[in-house]
Amino acid sequence: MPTIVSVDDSTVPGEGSSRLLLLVSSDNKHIVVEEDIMSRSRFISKQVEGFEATSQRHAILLPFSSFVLNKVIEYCSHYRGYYLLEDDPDAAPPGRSPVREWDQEFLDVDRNMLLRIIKAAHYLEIKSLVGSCARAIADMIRGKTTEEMREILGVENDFTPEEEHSPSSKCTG
Amino acid sequence: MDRSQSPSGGASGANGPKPWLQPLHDPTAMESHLESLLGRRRTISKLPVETVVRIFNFCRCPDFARFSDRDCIRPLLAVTHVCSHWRQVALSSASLWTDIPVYNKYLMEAMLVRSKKLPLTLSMCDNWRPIRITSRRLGIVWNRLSIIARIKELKYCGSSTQQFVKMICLETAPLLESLTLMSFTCIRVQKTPFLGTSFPRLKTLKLVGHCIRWQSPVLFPPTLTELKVYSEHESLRPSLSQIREVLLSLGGLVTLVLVDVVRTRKMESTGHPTPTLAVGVASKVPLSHLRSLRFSTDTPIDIRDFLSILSTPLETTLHIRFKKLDGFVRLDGRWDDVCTPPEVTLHNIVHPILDFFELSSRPAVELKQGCESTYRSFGILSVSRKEGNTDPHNFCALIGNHERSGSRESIPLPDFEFPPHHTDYMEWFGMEYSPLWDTRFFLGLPFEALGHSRLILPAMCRVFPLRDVDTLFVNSPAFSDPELWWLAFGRMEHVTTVVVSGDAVRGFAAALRCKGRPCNLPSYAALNTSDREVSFEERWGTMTGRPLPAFLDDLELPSRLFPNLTNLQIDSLTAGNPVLGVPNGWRNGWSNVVCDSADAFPVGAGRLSALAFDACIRIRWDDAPVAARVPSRSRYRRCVFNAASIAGSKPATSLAQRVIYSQARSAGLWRSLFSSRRHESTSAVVGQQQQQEESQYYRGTARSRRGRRAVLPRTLLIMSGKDVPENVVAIANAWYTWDRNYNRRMKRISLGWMSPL
Repeated sequence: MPTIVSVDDSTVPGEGSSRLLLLVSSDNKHIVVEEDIMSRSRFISKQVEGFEATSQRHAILLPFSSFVLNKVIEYCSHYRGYYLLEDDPDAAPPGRSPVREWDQEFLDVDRNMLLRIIKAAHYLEIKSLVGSCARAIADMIRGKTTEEMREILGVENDFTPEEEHSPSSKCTG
Repeated sequence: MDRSQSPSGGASGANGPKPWLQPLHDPTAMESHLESLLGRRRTISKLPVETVVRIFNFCRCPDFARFSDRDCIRPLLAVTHVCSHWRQVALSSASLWTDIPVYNKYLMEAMLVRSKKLPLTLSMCDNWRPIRITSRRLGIVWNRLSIIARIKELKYCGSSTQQFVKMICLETAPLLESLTLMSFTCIRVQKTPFLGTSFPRLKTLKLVGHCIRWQSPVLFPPTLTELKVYSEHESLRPSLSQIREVLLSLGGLVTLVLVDVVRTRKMESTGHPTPTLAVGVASKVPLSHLRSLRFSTDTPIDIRDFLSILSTPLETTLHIRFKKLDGFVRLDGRWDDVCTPPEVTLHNIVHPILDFFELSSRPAVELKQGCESTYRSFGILSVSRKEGNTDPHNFCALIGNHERSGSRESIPLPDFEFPPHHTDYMEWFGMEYSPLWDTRFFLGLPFEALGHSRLILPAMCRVFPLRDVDTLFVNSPAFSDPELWWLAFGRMEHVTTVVVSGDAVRGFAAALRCKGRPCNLPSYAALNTSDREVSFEERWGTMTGRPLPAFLDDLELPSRLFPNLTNLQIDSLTAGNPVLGVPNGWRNGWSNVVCDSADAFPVGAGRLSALAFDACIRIRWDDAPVAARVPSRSRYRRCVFNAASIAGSKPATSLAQRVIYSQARSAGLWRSLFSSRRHESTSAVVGQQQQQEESQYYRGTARSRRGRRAVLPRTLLIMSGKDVPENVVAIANAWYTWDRNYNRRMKRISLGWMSPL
């Protein structure tokens, strides 16, 4: 959980139509973003609700780097004002995220960055971004052999020979 | 950071910060550095379990090419062999194993266990062809499925429907919510009521190719919210009154689809239609929850009669399709070659329908006309009214010809939906999608009636309130005739956006460049954009060479076509690829050649493409300099190369770096494409080779040349010439085996071919 620290009100204006949030990344970068942009994040929304309950606004420390955070903000900015079914807390749980062309371009990053983004999206509870990242990762490993999957995602084969050839695994592939 | 200095920090002095403790300012470099220091790699295993499950869920059913249930389950089986963590996560996630396969009894047993007690989905069919299950085999599967109480969704496609229905009706399926029965031969089902009372929670029922006895008013469970019936045999179709009786018991319907179900009333030899079914307001079927109604029949009179028995909310979207042109080709008795009774005129048919639709208050109305059962080409005139706009004359229009190539057989594809054109057109257009584009109003023309388009479409545009249309989507081949542009759209002075594709591009270009005309046609035309102007000087008479229809002489046309035009998109890639199931494939498929060269645009294809957001120019060898004039910073650069032009063309290679549409006519083309370095001339061996050789080439050479490939397009459209669909499939299969780096960069791969199978 991030530590919540008080910040100067002049840094984070809390009144007016365009309310701002101060996000602090793990590399101690301060990023000011409009609250409306980050409303897609359930985590941020909960934090803001907490602010309103206590009438105090704070900076929100996030456990990932500013580079990742900027990517997430870029995603949220792009879909600002859009209704995405996956992010609707009242809607049914999404089975499969729809293919969005912009997301494909947006997630055209290397594997490590993709994993960072999906972890950040999971932390911030942005379901649509989690879904798009999951689709991107699935696209990377779909149609590959198990060896290729291990190589792509950096997973080590930790099966014992007995496990790998056990009768119980016969129907697993 | 200078890592060569010792950690004792001598260079910075005793009190200063040690250089190796200086922070890295690049966060990504810092994280990578930390990871390298810690000697570990970031792996997917660090992700939360629910996220990993979601990834597996995407692996389970690829959107890209789902050839069968085996392809659906195979990737999921593979992930269970990667590592123990993955196996544990996958096996403990029951939701991954609810799609029960029927082709492997051992796998079926295993999945029944792994799915625990979750509701199941049982699909006893292939995507494209019925699965061959003998009666005995069917019985074995069904007997093993003592789990019918767990089935939530059931789909059967085959010829044993009669037996299948008997079996499933023997037991109660309390969880069954969706049932689909498909047959490609007409199956007569004698059982009444059709499904009995075995499915108390059935909500969705889809019947394709079955003949059920509509005489019983309790034919379907009253719990249905979605009823879709396709393609009843013509001799066994129910009458309108029978359908009405059945619908009376289905008051909870939200979606109703009746395609080729209602018995049509034949025209009498005297030329007079049979009297309209007299149904009072009190005896109408109240479908107060209906949101979508799709109805297809032969003639517009049947549509009128069918609508007369329904009472639906204003929010209902209506999709109406009819095949025959009764009344639509006769206008004021001027066309003697069409024998239609005087009562059946355009006005007499359209206006009652519009009255029923209450056009001024309905958010969406759709009229289609075409050959749905055969999936041949058909023309469509679509007019959309922007939702929320109370002005009844505020429409946008789409004139289209949707062509489904690849199948000559009358195989219905029941899941086929007309592409979400507005969304994607807007996306192509660089405009943000707006829900205002969701509503649409269609009028269609069958493919065989395209010859009458010159007469019908202008007449429709006169009858319907289209004068204030501001957006046009045109891809009907009928509009290759430039005259038609003027006749149909000449009065639409408020058009600001035109999207044109297919053969219509040629007609559009000609219509724009006409200047001078006989009679009342405009004297000149010009295309104005926000920052530049393209004028054409050719004379109208030279362009068309044909006299105008007399009945249109009184049209008061403006002096210029689309004087307020500000946005123009020219594209040719509209048709879909129905066989490979490519998502959004209709956008990337192949319709026909728009411009073999820049000849259709005397000003130059490069200049015109600079105006367009998404120009598609088929570039020949001679046109390579034209291609070079396409702005390098265009957001969308799609160019079509033929086999001869790709090799050795610097501009072509440069353009190909981002998006390539190419025809896979020869392995030599591919060799040159994927092995050439940037801006390096290569000589392609253009020649026809056998499918097997090509397939081997893709599997083998692509791997061996890893790292040397310089051209890495984001999107690749592979199109073959005729008689090579097997090649396309072979390429698709080979694609999966390509190295991961290349595959990862490739964001969209589309496969198609030019001619029907």
